[in-house]
Amino acid sequence: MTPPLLGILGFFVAMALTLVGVPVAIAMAVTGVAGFAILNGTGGAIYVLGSAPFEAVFPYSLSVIPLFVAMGVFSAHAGLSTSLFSAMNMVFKRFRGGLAMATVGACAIFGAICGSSLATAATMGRIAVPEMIREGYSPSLAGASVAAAGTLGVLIPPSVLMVIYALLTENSIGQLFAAALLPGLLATGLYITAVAVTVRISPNAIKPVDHHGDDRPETGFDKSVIAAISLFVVVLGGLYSGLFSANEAAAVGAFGAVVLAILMKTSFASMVDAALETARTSAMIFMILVGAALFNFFIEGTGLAGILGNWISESGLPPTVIMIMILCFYLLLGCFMDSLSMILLTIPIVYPIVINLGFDPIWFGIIVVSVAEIGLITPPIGMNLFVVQNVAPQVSQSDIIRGILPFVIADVVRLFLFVAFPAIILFLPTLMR
Amino acid sequence: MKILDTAFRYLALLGAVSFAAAACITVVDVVMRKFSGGILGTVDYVQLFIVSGAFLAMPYAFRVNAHVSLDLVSNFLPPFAQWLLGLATSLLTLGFCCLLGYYSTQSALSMLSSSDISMNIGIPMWIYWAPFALGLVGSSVAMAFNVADQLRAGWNEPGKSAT
Amino acid sequence: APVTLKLAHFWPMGAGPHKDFTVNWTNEITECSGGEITFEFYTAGTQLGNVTKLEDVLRAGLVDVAHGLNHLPRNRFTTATIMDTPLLAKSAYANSMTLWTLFEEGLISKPYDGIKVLALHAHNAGLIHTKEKAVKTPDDLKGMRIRAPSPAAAMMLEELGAVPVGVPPGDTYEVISKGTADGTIFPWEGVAAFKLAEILDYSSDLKLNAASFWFAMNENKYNSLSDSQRKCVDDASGEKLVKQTGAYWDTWDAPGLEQTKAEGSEIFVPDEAQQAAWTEAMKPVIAKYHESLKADGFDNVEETYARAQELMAEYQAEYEAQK
Ligand code: NA
Ligand code: NA
Repeated sequence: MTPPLLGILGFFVAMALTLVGVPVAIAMAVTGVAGFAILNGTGGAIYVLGSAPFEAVFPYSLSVIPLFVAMGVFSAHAGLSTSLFSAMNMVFKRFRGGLAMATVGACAIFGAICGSSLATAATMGRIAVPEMIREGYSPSLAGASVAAAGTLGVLIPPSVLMVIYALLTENSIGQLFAAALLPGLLATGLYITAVAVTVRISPNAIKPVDHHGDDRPETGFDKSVIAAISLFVVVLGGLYSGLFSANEAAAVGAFGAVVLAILMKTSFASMVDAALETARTSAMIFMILVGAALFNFFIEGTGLAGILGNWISESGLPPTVIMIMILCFYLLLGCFMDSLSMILLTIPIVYPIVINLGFDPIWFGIIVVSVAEIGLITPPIGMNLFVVQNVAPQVSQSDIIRGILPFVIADVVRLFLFVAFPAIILFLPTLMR
Repeated sequence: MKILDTAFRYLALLGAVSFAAAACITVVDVVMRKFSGGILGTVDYVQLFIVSGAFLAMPYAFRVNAHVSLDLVSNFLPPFAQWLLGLATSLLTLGFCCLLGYYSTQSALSMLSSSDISMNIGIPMWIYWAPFALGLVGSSVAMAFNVADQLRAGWNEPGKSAT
Repeated sequence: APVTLKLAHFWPMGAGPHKDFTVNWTNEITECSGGEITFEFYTAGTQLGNVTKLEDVLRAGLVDVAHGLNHLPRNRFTTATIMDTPLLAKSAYANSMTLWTLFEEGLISKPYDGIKVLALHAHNAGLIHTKEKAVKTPDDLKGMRIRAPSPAAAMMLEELGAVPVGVPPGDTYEVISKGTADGTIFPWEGVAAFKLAEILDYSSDLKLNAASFWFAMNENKYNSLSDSQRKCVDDASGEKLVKQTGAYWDTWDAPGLEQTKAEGSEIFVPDEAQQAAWTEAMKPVIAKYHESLKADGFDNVEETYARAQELMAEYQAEYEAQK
């Protein structure tokens, strides 16, 4: 078997192992080491096994990962969700579907201090879904709006996935975060539109409920909303203005989130939970980085990227057509794969091709993160669908899947806009340069 | 077994404390350099605390199955096949963790006699390698317990054993 | 028999050290061997091209030829970092030939045991490039935040009262333009590579440092080549390649100098009195640096340094005569 063919086989073996339930990190690592041994002999593979894992987790720039994770986890445990949700409700309550719109808005603000989609969906799902069901919203709309809006955790900076893209491709985290700002707002707007359209065309989306004269207190914009926004402004503002680097921004963010949790009188037990969650999430990401490094050692040796690149440049297709093909490939892959593993597995091959075609690396970063995030809400395997079902047992997996289509359409529209108008992404970073 | 689970939990908490140390030293460095020089070797310390934190938490992450994995295929299988598949994937994971633990320990031991030092303030590199190798060896132990749990649970309780 | 050699280094494909050094050297060998020897490249961004692992992957035989930095990872090729001694460096030609002769004389060769060294070289002496405030006297440095390219440069800055900033070279533009750092130490090549001319105001030609590089082959692989193949490698390497690299550095430096002139920035060259002040200020720094080399296990520092100064004068004269 020629090395490039072995590379393709390795890619499918890694995917197959993932699909039968092997942890993604281990699937990539096992395939990588085995493939490397076939290409270079056992001696080389043993050397790689003894040195590459450490080298993969040693770079200073990786410190942003646990620290941004901590920022999100501690904000989630600080109990911001209720007040964010009711504050947004003040804004949207006059519209039909206002609660679902408020959910999207609250996810956007929460996403501005949390770097993970799953954490955003889980945190907001706990509070927003029961509330919507109580007000007569269909489980479909309630579940789907949280699952979709949860992806704002990654689409709006800070974002762990963007950090990993930046580290993998040696791009600036600050530039990527700046580039993500307008697209994140666009995503929020499109999700709100998706809610408005859903409640208009589907009469069953909201059934009238009769419990007027309800005595729930309206909190409005309380201190915690201001605290959340201040944290965002300090971290992102400091990063953009050059007051501190990405590593320092993450440290300040983690520090700020812990202070926020203390100010919100979070219980000690909850703080310990947050610490454990930070530790195990970071450990998991680091293990995936180890797996990705081992896998890349192998893929690099097969010369696959070069051959695919040549093949594409000889095909004579216009770059935009190739980009659309790449995006369709990601959409398909996203049905079955988790966003992080998808990016780690494919970037070593896809990134050089895309850059050779003349696309901007920052632009492609936002594109690839967006398309990977769509995978979180597409069946059969969408992590956000699982998360929402998990935290809100009132809605079933199939309920959410039935309601997700308008949101997936909103995502595809957004992708289309990015390809048609790259300035949506590149405007702010060019301003920064 | 229970004692080890407690130990893994405390190691993970120690990992979180290690992250906190990295955050604090960075924040202090940011503040201090507004007035004077900042802390020499911040980068070296942060690298040490981050690597240590992630790998001290690694056994706990394996023990509570925090690792991203999917169960698409197994949902369509009868309980016994589900159990078997779960066991097979755990055994593969265990096998690989042992391999990684073994060779990382070898490298860490060779670091003891090497002259490699960190970039800025010259911390000996074996200090970085020790928590890393410890975390991987601990992960092998954690995975061994996962396998033992699965074997003990038997195929009547697939939900409990599926990773 | 035909053989494909894996060659790894840490520069991007578009950088001079790849386009000129690597491509010319490999072409020469492929041609000489009648196409028997071909090459496969692993460059910036690849796992095998990881700058801190180049020595290890070369010794382990994962790659056959590698081109790395002497000061990274720290404390591997410590003897060659004698070249990082402040104020020692002159032109790239003289620096490289000095290093190569020290190697051939056995003064710095010990850490390279077991690998077939093909060339050693060092860039033209580095300058301090700053924004807003010029560095003309040692006192000017006090309190300034300067990006340090190596541990030796960091120590020097610290001893002179400046604050060394440790960021990767790719972040230099960002930290200077945002004011996180006031300047950087680079040869002109770095100014061009990282597009720094547009944000810099002053360049002080103080001959502060020179980072150095090794270019080597796996010894087993070298020995496994046929006699005629080995001759092709030998013919393209050694002193001839070292001299060629000195000239390459001049061409790699030229755009940075041109861009700086085009921006109208001030280029400061110290006169004799000013130079004397720097020499005086550096004395304790040099002593301290050599102490640190000794602590890292480099025993014959004084002897090597004395010889390096002799050779440097000799080769610099040779370089100036050629011009
Ligand atoms: Na976010
Ligand atoms: Na999906």
